[in-house]
Amino acid sequence: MECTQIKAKLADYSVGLLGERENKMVEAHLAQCPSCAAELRALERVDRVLKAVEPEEPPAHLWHSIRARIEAEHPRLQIPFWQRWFSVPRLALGGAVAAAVLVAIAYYSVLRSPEGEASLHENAEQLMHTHQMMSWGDPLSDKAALGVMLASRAQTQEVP
Amino acid sequence: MLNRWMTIAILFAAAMGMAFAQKPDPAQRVRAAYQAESRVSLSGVMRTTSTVQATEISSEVVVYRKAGMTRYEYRSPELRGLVLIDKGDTLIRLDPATRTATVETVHRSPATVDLVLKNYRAELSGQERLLGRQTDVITLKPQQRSGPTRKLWIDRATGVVLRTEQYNSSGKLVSRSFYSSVDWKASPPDSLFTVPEGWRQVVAPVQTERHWEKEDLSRRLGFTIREPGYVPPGFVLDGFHLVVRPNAQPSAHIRYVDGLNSISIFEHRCPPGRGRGFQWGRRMGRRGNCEFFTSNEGNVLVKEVGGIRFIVVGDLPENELQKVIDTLR
Repeated sequence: MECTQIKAKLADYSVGLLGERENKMVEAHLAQCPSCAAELRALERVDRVLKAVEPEEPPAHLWHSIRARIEAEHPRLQIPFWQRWFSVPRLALGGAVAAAVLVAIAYYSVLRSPEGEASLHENAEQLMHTHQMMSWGDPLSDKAALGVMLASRAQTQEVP
Repeated sequence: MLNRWMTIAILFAAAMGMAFAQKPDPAQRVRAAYQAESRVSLSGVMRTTSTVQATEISSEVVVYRKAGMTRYEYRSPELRGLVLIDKGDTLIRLDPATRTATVETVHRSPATVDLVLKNYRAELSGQERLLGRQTDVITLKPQQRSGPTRKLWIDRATGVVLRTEQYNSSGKLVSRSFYSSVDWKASPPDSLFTVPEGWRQVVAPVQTERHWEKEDLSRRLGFTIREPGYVPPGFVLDGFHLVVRPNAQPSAHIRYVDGLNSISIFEHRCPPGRGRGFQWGRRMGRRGNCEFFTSNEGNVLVKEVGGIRFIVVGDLPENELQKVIDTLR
């Protein structure tokens, strides 16, 4: 394949959208073409920058002003008031239902329990740490190594 | 004729004597190493490597030892200048970042060197020269069942352990520490074993020495603590302890020791609401009511019965842990 054909495929390649055969062809070309390889690096840089940017919340009035302009320029696209009224709340209603479902899941799986399912494994890890640190006073224990463990794990409290 | 036989007998006795003199008694060497921990003064540099949650952490450690006290200064960037002072009955942790000294009482284990030698076979694996000194390499292997193994390079002259390697019951290296230099004539000043002036001193919430009576601890937790009907041969009861962790149910901690290995059984009320489901480990046991986790440091088995969660931790094979947890009802 020529550079122009490869460059056309680089964007899809960078996000893993190419098939296996095309992937291999692009990789074979990149291995011997510094120009295309540089293009791929530039694409990856852009991707990283885009990922680093915080998505900005559009202002609440944005959709209404866009709609008003479209309707002003294309009067045929105007829709009845009741439909317009219904279309936006339908989205809102869907969002509200999704949010309610998420809140319910969070409530039942985590908030109702001080030690939710997700923390069972963490608890076992904490208790394993306590188990290990109790061996500090055992004969011939490797205290230099135990000190590393002491510093590396969160301390569990064993109280009098 | 008689003279010739006498000469042969004397030569034979001398040869046997030399053979025995060169072959030290491994159990005696282990006892000497245990005694040297509180008897020998020195300063030196150690290199220690441990596996913590599948991550290997290494550090250079400057060590000062004097009359039953040891100071460990950790030099690796990850440990941020941590200093530990072991005074036998207390452990002081110095954190240079906050200039805080945390003092905690050290748990006094009932495990003795006698218990170690009862449950572990001491074998002389060789004799090596380390740092220009003669060492006996002693391997402590479990007498009967599978379990952890400890390898010690014991200085012939002083009994100081110059290198130690700890393997778990699967034979994987868990930790390794060794001296890269030793000053045998050092006499570290007492100031190295005290909290530096001007540092904030706090008492650690962890007071591991406290042994509870079973009934008192049951009353404190509001449920009857269960003891297992089975622990593997060689293990003896260390004691009952209370473990309090932030955002978690307070637990009873029952500990058993065999000298080099230990079993911990934690018991606490199941958290209210959900949270009693199992999904992180592998289900096992009768009716699949147990959950199994494993790591380099040991195995963990969890089960819940009658609103109580039992967590058994130890470097033991799965079937042994299962036998212990099956007898907790």
